Amino acid sequence: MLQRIREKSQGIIAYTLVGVIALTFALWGVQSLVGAMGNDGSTMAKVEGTSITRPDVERRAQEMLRQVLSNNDQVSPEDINQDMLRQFALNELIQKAVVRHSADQLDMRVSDALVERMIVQNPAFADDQGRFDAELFKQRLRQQGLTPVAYRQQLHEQLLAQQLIGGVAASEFVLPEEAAATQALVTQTRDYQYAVLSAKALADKIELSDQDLDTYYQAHLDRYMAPEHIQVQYVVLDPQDFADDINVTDDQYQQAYERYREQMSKTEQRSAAHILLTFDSPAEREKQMSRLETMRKQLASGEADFADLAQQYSEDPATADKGGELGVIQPGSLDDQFETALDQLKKVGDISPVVETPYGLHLIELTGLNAKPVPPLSDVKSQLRQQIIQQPLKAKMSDRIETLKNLSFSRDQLTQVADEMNLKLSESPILVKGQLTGFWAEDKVAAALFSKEITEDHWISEPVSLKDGRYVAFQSEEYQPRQQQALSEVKDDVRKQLLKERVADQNWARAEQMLDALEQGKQPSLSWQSVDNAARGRSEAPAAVNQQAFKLTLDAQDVARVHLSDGDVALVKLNAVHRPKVSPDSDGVSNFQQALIRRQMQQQQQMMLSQLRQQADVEMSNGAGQP
Amino acid sequence: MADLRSEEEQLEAFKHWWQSNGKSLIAGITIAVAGIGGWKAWETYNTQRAEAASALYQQLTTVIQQPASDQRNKEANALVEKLTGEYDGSIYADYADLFAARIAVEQKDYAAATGYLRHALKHSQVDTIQLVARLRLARVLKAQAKPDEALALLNGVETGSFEAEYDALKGDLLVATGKEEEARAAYNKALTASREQGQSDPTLQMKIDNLGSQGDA
Repeated sequence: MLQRIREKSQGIIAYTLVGVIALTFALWGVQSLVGAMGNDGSTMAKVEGTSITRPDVERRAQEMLRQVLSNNDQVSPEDINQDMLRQFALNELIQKAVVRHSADQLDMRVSDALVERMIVQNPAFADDQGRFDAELFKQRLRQQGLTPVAYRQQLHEQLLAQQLIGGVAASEFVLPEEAAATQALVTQTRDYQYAVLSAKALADKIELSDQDLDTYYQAHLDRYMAPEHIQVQYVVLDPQDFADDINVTDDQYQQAYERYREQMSKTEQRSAAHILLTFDSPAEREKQMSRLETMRKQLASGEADFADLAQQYSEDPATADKGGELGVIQPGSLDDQFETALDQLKKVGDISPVVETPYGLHLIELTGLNAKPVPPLSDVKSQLRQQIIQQPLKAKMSDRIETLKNLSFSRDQLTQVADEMNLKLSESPILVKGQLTGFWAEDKVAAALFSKEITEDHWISEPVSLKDGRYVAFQSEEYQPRQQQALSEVKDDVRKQLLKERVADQNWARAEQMLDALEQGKQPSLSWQSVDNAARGRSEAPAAVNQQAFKLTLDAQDVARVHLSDGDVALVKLNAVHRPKVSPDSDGVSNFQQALIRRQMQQQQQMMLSQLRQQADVEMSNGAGQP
Repeated sequence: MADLRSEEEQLEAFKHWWQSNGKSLIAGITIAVAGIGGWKAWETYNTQRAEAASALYQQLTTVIQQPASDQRNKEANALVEKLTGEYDGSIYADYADLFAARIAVEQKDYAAATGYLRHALKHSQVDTIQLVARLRLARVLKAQAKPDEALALLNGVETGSFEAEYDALKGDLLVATGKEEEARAAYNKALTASREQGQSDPTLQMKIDNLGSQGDA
């Protein structure tokens, strides 16, 4: 009895446990238990406790990549910064999670019925009459790799996000007064004058000492660097060079030609007709065999027609009606015995002996032969020669490569190698790293050129294979690492640069003196040019002058100087501002209203999103910020 | 010791315990079950209410996207009334107020617009919505030539991500009240804030550049 109570009480504990688990499920759903299992270390961010994992981000980044690539033909995957893409993806996923969380917090709900209505009303899923088509719906989803359940969930989330964020945009307005004020501001025109101080004459008066040049050179050393470059001697091993030495005998030609003819014959097409008789027993086989023999004799003597016989007697229901015609026989498509027999028929109308296949006994007639004429040997001789010498050429080439390899390893100078192998020794142009052309630009060659063995150790390179089948080996003649250019080499460049800067500086200082003079009420000799009714971004004056004019005040003392090209400087002075009177009721205002509202809607959405994000608990994992 | 007691005694002890505690145990379980049931029912009720409001709101957004017409405005206002009347305090009701304000502005009924916006400002539980409503209210007040009232509404508000828009509007209002230097400071703050947000508003720079030119035009 005690034993039983103990068993029972264990039962009670078990029941209680099950009860607790069931209650947990009922109240908080499966998520509560799964979520409690913790995180596997791949979390990149947490939004209100929900993890965004590395695989999530990776998946989204790949989706984005596919979108970008499918929209831009010219873009290749290498052009796209993957890290940046991952940042975008992470950001988007965080944004989505924030919106989801906020919508939930704000008690926003979207019913299944609403989701269903959106699906049914979506024109993408409608048939010709505009009615929802369930098949089309499934098909469209399949194209996107989505299940209906996943799509509904996506749509549900989208609708919530639209309600939350879209509401702020869709309720935005622009008052006509606001649009009118903006229009007045944007379409304002101004009258101003400007005077250009040319830098041209200044250059002649500037004296640059060697000391000046040296100072400038020392201050800009990184501008005067010679790139890494090399010049080499090289030999090229070209298989074509000894292809001519290989002899081809007439016998070899003959054999190759036979093979060639055989190949050609394989491309011919044969059509056939047949008469099939089947049997169930050896006795019946004998009987059918003799029937076919009889038919064969009748056909040979011309008493009967193959098609007629096939129609009357053939037990192949698929072809009997068509006079036994099987059409063009693709090699390998029928039974071996059948095809062998067919191949032995030489001309149209020939009839085979009785052939046995697993289907039964056949008589076969060749009904069509479409063969291309085989060109004579003389026409294909050079083509055959290429084939014949391929093997010996390869063997000879690999011998030569082996020799070159050994020699380039054992000799000190490439000259010796060239002599011993009777190869032509050439000299390369100066090869600049990063600006290689021709076969020097091939990856393998470029890597070998600037390797330590070549540049420092002065070794002969191993033979490097080129894309066109040739081999090259080289040895450095002269090598320069990336290095500082001496002032003497670049003196002219330095002088030009420094002069340009000095001129610009002097001119700028001259402009300041002018400004001071103007301020003191003097009239320095300047040739002022007037511009009337200049609009923003549109005037006959240089762009920098016009921009400056729209920053000036009407204060008579307010004169500004701006940099132009080539060291020139302009002085600008504002004369008048023309502010158009724009009434909120005027016609043009509504255009401005349209443009403004679009921008404001977008801005408000952005601000709302960042406000929600600020308020949500968003945690970035270490390293998620800079992948 | 338990094993010295007879089974009779154990049964007796259990009966005794049951008589004194049984009722409260059953009552406790009943209350717990009723509580859970009630809570679930309350949740269901709330979800259904939210879904109903959501459906009305969805309808409203569809209606509002149609070109302005009396018919559209009538339909929209009916939906707004229903949302603000039956679902007051929900975010859907807040949005209904904002939509109603938009329609009122389109009809140049600024008084009605301020009414809706004030309602949203007062009743919304969501500070983002309050920030939006407050900003729009101040803009309508400006159009009604009440810059001082508008400025009072904007001052001393924790603006969060809406800082740039708030400061830009303050700048406009200060210009309207003739305080150019204060306006310049407000515009510059707006410019900095909008750059921090990665936005660029070309008119903001124009407004700053334009400040000095007001004088003797």
